[in-house]
Amino acid sequence: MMDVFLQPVGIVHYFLLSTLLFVIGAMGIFLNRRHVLSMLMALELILLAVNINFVAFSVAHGNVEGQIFSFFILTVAAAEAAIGLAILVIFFRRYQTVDVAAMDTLKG
Amino acid sequence: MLGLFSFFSFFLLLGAVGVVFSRHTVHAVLSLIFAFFNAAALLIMIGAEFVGFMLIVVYVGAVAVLFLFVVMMLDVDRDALRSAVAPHKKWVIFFAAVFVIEILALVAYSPPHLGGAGAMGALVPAQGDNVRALGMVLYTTYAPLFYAAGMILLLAMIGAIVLTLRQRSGVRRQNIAQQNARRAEDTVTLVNPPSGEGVI
Repeated sequence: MMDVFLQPVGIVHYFLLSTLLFVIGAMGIFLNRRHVLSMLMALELILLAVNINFVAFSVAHGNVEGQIFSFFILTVAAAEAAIGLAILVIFFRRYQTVDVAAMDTLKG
Repeated sequence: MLGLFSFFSFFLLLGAVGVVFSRHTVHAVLSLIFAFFNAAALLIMIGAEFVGFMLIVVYVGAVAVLFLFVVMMLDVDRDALRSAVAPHKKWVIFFAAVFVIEILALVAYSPPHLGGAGAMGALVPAQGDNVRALGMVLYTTYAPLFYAAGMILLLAMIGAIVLTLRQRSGVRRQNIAQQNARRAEDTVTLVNPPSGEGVI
Protein backbone atom coordinates (compact mmCIF):
# COMPACT_ATOMS: atom_id res chain seq x y z
CA MET A 1 0.00 0.00 0.00
CA MET A 2 2.72 2.44 0.96
CA ASP A 3 4.73 1.38 -2.08
CA VAL A 4 2.61 3.61 -4.30
CA PHE A 5 3.85 6.69 -2.50
CA LEU A 6 7.46 5.62 -2.80
CA GLN A 7 7.29 5.23 -6.58
CA PRO A 8 9.67 7.52 -8.47
CA VAL A 9 8.23 10.61 -10.13
CA GLY A 10 8.31 10.61 -13.92
CA ILE A 11 8.04 13.23 -16.60
CA VAL A 12 4.42 12.15 -17.18
CA HIS A 13 3.38 13.32 -13.73
CA TYR A 14 4.84 16.76 -14.23
CA PHE A 15 3.34 16.93 -17.71
CA LEU A 16 -0.14 16.11 -16.43
CA LEU A 17 0.21 18.54 -13.53
CA SER A 18 1.23 21.38 -15.81
CA THR A 19 -1.63 20.53 -18.19
CA LEU A 20 -4.14 20.75 -15.36
CA LEU A 21 -2.60 24.01 -14.15
CA PHE A 22 -2.71 25.43 -17.66
CA VAL A 23 -6.37 24.48 -18.06
CA ILE A 24 -7.30 26.02 -14.71
CA GLY A 25 -5.51 29.21 -15.73
CA ALA A 26 -7.23 29.30 -19.11
CA MET A 27 -10.59 28.74 -17.42
CA GLY A 28 -9.76 31.62 -15.13
CA ILE A 29 -9.21 33.92 -18.09
CA PHE A 30 -12.57 33.00 -19.59
CA LEU A 31 -14.59 32.89 -16.36
CA ASN A 32 -13.31 36.25 -15.09
CA ARG A 33 -13.59 37.85 -18.48
CA ARG A 34 -14.57 41.24 -17.13
CA HIS A 35 -12.07 41.59 -14.32
CA VAL A 36 -8.63 42.53 -15.64
CA LEU A 37 -6.85 41.80 -12.37
CA SER A 38 -8.18 38.23 -12.23
CA MET A 39 -7.25 37.74 -15.86
CA LEU A 40 -3.69 38.84 -15.12
CA MET A 41 -3.48 36.41 -12.20
CA ALA A 42 -4.79 33.56 -14.35
CA LEU A 43 -2.14 34.51 -16.90
CA GLU A 44 0.51 34.12 -14.21
CA LEU A 45 -0.85 30.61 -13.53
CA ILE A 46 -0.51 29.74 -17.22
CA LEU A 47 3.07 31.00 -17.27
CA LEU A 48 3.77 28.96 -14.14
CA ALA A 49 2.46 25.85 -15.91
CA VAL A 50 4.77 26.55 -18.84
CA ASN A 51 7.70 27.04 -16.48
CA ILE A 52 7.04 23.73 -14.70
CA ASN A 53 6.94 21.99 -18.06
CA PHE A 54 10.22 23.55 -19.17
CA VAL A 55 12.02 22.65 -15.95
CA ALA A 56 10.66 19.09 -15.82
CA PHE A 57 11.74 18.37 -19.39
CA SER A 58 15.08 20.05 -18.71
CA VAL A 59 15.71 17.65 -15.83
CA ALA A 60 14.45 14.69 -17.84
CA HIS A 61 16.87 15.41 -20.67
CA GLY A 62 19.76 16.40 -18.40
CA ASN A 63 20.05 19.72 -20.17
CA VAL A 64 20.00 22.95 -18.15
CA GLU A 65 18.96 25.11 -21.08
CA GLY A 66 15.30 24.50 -20.28
CA GLN A 67 15.85 26.08 -16.88
CA ILE A 68 17.63 29.01 -18.56
CA PHE A 69 14.60 29.50 -20.76
CA SER A 70 12.32 29.43 -17.74
CA PHE A 71 14.37 32.35 -16.32
CA PHE A 72 13.61 34.38 -19.40
CA ILE A 73 9.93 33.49 -19.09
CA LEU A 74 10.12 34.63 -15.48
CA THR A 75 11.72 37.93 -16.53
CA VAL A 76 9.14 38.64 -19.19
CA ALA A 77 6.32 37.65 -16.82
CA ALA A 78 7.58 40.09 -14.21
CA ALA A 79 7.87 42.89 -16.79
CA GLU A 80 4.42 42.08 -18.13
CA ALA A 81 2.90 42.14 -14.65
CA ALA A 82 4.50 45.51 -13.88
CA ILE A 83 3.35 47.13 -17.13
CA GLY A 84 -0.07 45.50 -17.00
CA LEU A 85 -0.70 46.68 -13.47
CA ALA A 86 0.50 50.20 -14.33
CA ILE A 87 -1.94 50.31 -17.24
CA LEU A 88 -4.64 48.96 -14.93
CA VAL A 89 -3.98 51.70 -12.38
CA ILE A 90 -4.25 54.52 -14.92
CA PHE A 91 -7.32 52.86 -16.45
CA PHE A 92 -8.98 52.69 -13.05
CA ARG A 93 -8.04 56.32 -12.36
CA ARG A 94 -9.80 57.41 -15.53
CA TYR A 95 -12.88 55.15 -15.63
CA GLN A 96 -13.30 54.10 -11.95
CA THR A 97 -13.66 50.43 -12.99
CA VAL A 98 -11.55 47.48 -14.15
CA ASP A 99 -14.29 46.08 -16.37
CA VAL A 100 -12.88 44.85 -19.67
CA ALA A 101 -16.17 45.78 -21.33
CA ALA A 102 -15.40 49.44 -20.53
CA MET A 103 -12.28 49.29 -22.70
CA ASP A 104 -14.12 49.93 -25.93
CA THR A 105 -12.53 53.16 -27.09
CA LEU A 106 -10.99 51.55 -30.16
CA LYS A 107 -14.20 49.83 -31.16
CA GLY A 108 -15.39 52.93 -32.98
CA MET B 1 8.57 10.46 -3.97
CA LEU B 2 5.20 10.11 -5.61
CA GLY B 3 3.58 10.77 -2.24
CA LEU B 4 5.47 14.04 -1.89
CA PHE B 5 4.68 14.94 -5.48
CA SER B 6 0.97 14.25 -4.93
CA PHE B 7 0.98 16.32 -1.77
CA PHE B 8 2.53 19.39 -3.36
CA SER B 9 0.66 19.13 -6.64
CA PHE B 10 -2.67 18.76 -4.81
CA PHE B 11 -2.06 22.00 -2.95
CA LEU B 12 -0.75 23.67 -6.11
CA LEU B 13 -3.96 22.86 -7.95
CA LEU B 14 -5.97 23.88 -4.89
CA GLY B 15 -4.23 27.25 -4.92
CA ALA B 16 -4.87 27.61 -8.66
CA VAL B 17 -8.57 26.87 -8.17
CA GLY B 18 -8.57 29.43 -5.38
CA VAL B 19 -7.10 32.05 -7.73
CA VAL B 20 -9.82 31.46 -10.30
CA PHE B 21 -12.88 30.95 -8.13
CA SER B 22 -12.42 32.88 -4.89
CA ARG B 23 -14.84 35.71 -4.18
CA HIS B 24 -12.38 38.18 -2.76
CA THR B 25 -9.56 39.46 -4.95
CA VAL B 26 -7.28 39.52 -1.90
CA HIS B 27 -7.99 35.83 -1.33
CA ALA B 28 -7.16 35.20 -4.97
CA VAL B 29 -3.77 36.87 -4.57
CA LEU B 30 -3.05 34.88 -1.40
CA SER B 31 -4.01 31.68 -3.23
CA LEU B 32 -1.60 32.69 -5.98
CA ILE B 33 1.19 33.00 -3.41
CA PHE B 34 0.26 29.59 -1.96
CA ALA B 35 0.32 28.05 -5.44
CA PHE B 36 3.75 29.52 -6.15
CA PHE B 37 5.20 28.11 -2.93
CA ASN B 38 3.97 24.64 -3.85
CA ALA B 39 5.29 24.98 -7.40
CA ALA B 40 8.67 25.98 -5.98
CA ALA B 41 8.64 22.88 -3.78
CA LEU B 42 7.86 20.72 -6.81
CA LEU B 43 10.77 22.21 -8.74
CA ILE B 44 13.17 21.80 -5.82
CA MET B 45 12.06 18.17 -5.59
CA ILE B 46 13.50 17.36 -9.02
CA GLY B 47 16.74 19.19 -8.41
CA ALA B 48 16.02 22.55 -10.03
CA GLU B 49 16.66 24.45 -6.81
CA PHE B 50 17.63 27.73 -8.35
CA VAL B 51 14.48 28.06 -10.45
CA GLY B 52 12.43 27.05 -7.43
CA PHE B 53 13.92 29.68 -5.16
CA MET B 54 13.75 32.22 -7.99
CA LEU B 55 10.03 31.50 -8.24
CA ILE B 56 9.63 32.36 -4.56
CA VAL B 57 11.83 35.45 -4.74
CA VAL B 58 10.45 36.88 -7.98
CA TYR B 59 6.82 35.83 -7.85
CA VAL B 60 6.04 35.86 -4.15
CA GLY B 61 8.46 38.65 -3.31
CA ALA B 62 7.76 40.98 -6.19
CA VAL B 63 4.86 40.11 -8.48
CA ALA B 64 2.37 38.92 -5.88
CA VAL B 65 3.14 41.87 -3.62
CA LEU B 66 2.61 44.15 -6.62
CA PHE B 67 -0.76 42.50 -7.21
CA LEU B 68 -1.61 42.91 -3.54
CA PHE B 69 -0.76 46.62 -3.66
CA VAL B 70 -2.92 47.13 -6.73
CA VAL B 71 -5.81 45.15 -5.23
CA MET B 72 -5.70 47.30 -2.12
CA MET B 73 -5.41 50.49 -4.18
CA LEU B 74 -8.40 49.76 -6.40
CA ASP B 75 -11.70 49.18 -4.68
CA VAL B 76 -13.31 46.70 -7.04
CA ASP B 77 -16.49 44.74 -6.54
CA ARG B 78 -15.63 41.37 -8.02
CA ASP B 79 -19.12 39.85 -7.85
CA ALA B 80 -20.57 42.69 -9.92
CA LEU B 81 -18.07 41.88 -12.64
CA ARG B 82 -18.56 38.14 -12.38
CA SER B 83 -22.31 37.74 -12.74
CA ALA B 84 -22.37 38.81 -16.38
CA VAL B 85 -20.26 35.88 -17.60
CA ALA B 86 -22.31 33.06 -16.08
CA PRO B 87 -23.92 32.02 -19.42
CA HIS B 88 -20.47 31.13 -20.81
CA LYS B 89 -19.68 28.83 -17.91
CA LYS B 90 -20.73 25.52 -19.41
CA TRP B 91 -18.80 26.21 -22.62
CA VAL B 92 -15.68 27.05 -20.64
CA ILE B 93 -15.93 23.78 -18.71
CA PHE B 94 -16.66 21.87 -21.92
CA PHE B 95 -13.60 23.17 -23.75
CA ALA B 96 -11.39 22.69 -20.68
CA ALA B 97 -12.54 19.06 -20.46
CA VAL B 98 -11.86 18.57 -24.17
CA PHE B 99 -8.35 19.94 -23.77
CA VAL B 100 -7.58 17.72 -20.78
CA ILE B 101 -8.92 14.62 -22.56
CA GLU B 102 -6.83 15.42 -25.61
CA ILE B 103 -3.68 15.71 -23.52
CA LEU B 104 -4.51 12.47 -21.69
CA ALA B 105 -4.99 10.69 -25.02
CA LEU B 106 -1.71 12.15 -26.24
CA VAL B 107 0.12 10.84 -23.18
CA ALA B 108 -1.62 7.46 -23.27
CA TYR B 109 -1.15 6.69 -26.96
CA SER B 110 2.18 8.24 -27.90
CA PRO B 111 5.11 5.81 -28.10
CA PRO B 112 7.59 5.66 -25.21
CA HIS B 113 10.44 7.30 -27.09
CA LEU B 114 8.26 10.39 -27.60
CA GLY B 115 7.55 10.64 -23.88
CA GLY B 116 4.37 8.58 -23.82
CA ALA B 117 2.95 6.51 -21.02
CA GLY B 118 5.74 3.99 -21.42
CA ALA B 119 8.35 6.59 -20.58
CA MET B 120 7.88 6.32 -16.83
CA GLY B 121 11.57 6.72 -16.14
CA ALA B 122 12.21 8.56 -12.93
CA LEU B 123 13.26 12.18 -13.00
CA VAL B 124 16.71 12.02 -11.48
CA PRO B 125 18.17 15.28 -10.21
CA ALA B 126 21.48 16.01 -11.88
CA GLN B 127 24.55 15.40 -9.79
CA GLY B 128 26.49 18.42 -8.63
CA ASP B 129 25.69 22.05 -8.13
CA ASN B 130 22.56 23.24 -9.92
CA VAL B 131 23.48 26.91 -9.56
CA ARG B 132 26.99 26.33 -10.93
CA ALA B 133 25.65 24.37 -13.90
CA LEU B 134 23.18 27.15 -14.68
CA GLY B 135 25.78 29.87 -14.33
CA MET B 136 28.19 28.09 -16.64
CA VAL B 137 25.58 28.24 -19.39
CA LEU B 138 23.80 31.50 -18.58
CA TYR B 139 26.91 33.68 -18.43
CA THR B 140 28.59 32.21 -21.50
CA THR B 141 26.27 30.97 -24.22
CA TYR B 142 23.31 33.07 -23.17
CA ALA B 143 25.13 36.22 -22.05
CA PRO B 144 23.55 38.43 -24.78
CA LEU B 145 20.09 37.22 -23.82
CA PHE B 146 20.95 37.83 -20.18
CA TYR B 147 21.71 41.47 -21.01
CA ALA B 148 18.50 41.64 -23.04
CA ALA B 149 16.55 40.37 -20.02
CA GLY B 150 18.09 43.14 -17.94
CA MET B 151 17.08 45.70 -20.55
CA ILE B 152 13.53 44.33 -20.55
CA LEU B 153 13.31 44.79 -16.79
CA LEU B 154 14.72 48.32 -17.05
CA LEU B 155 12.21 49.11 -19.78
CA ALA B 156 9.38 47.74 -17.66
CA MET B 157 10.49 49.85 -14.71
CA ILE B 158 10.72 53.06 -16.77
CA GLY B 159 7.44 52.26 -18.51
CA ALA B 160 5.58 51.67 -15.25
CA ILE B 161 6.92 54.91 -13.76
CA VAL B 162 6.10 56.96 -16.88
CA LEU B 163 2.61 55.48 -17.09
CA THR B 164 1.63 56.09 -13.49
CA LEU B 165 3.38 59.43 -12.92
CA ARG B 166 0.84 62.22 -13.12
CA GLN B 167 1.07 65.98 -12.95
CA ARG B 168 -1.86 67.09 -10.90
CA SER B 169 -3.09 70.58 -11.65
CA GLY B 170 -3.67 72.90 -8.75
CA VAL B 171 -0.85 71.55 -6.62
CA ARG B 172 1.41 74.28 -5.19
CA ARG B 173 5.03 73.31 -5.49
CA GLN B 174 8.12 75.06 -4.24
CA ASN B 175 9.87 76.94 -7.06
CA ILE B 176 13.27 77.91 -5.72
CA ALA B 177 14.26 80.16 -8.65
CA GLN B 178 11.03 82.10 -8.30
CA GLN B 179 11.57 82.40 -4.58
CA ASN B 180 15.08 83.75 -5.02
CA ALA B 181 13.99 86.18 -7.72
CA ARG B 182 11.50 87.90 -5.43
CA ARG B 183 12.73 91.15 -3.92
CA ALA B 184 11.46 92.73 -0.75
CA GLU B 185 10.93 96.12 -2.45
CA ASP B 186 8.59 94.52 -5.04
CA THR B 187 6.30 92.79 -2.60
CA VAL B 188 6.49 94.42 0.82
CA THR B 189 4.84 97.77 1.50
CA LEU B 190 5.69 99.49 4.72
CA VAL B 191 2.99 101.78 6.07
CA ASN B 192 2.80 103.92 9.12
CA PRO B 193 -0.91 104.51 9.80
CA PRO B 194 -1.93 107.25 12.15
CA SER B 195 -3.38 106.11 15.42
CA GLY B 196 -7.12 105.30 15.28
CA GLU B 197 -7.43 105.22 11.41
CA GLY B 198 -5.86 101.98 10.22
CA VAL B 199 -4.96 100.97 6.69
CA ILE B 200 -7.56 100.81 3.93
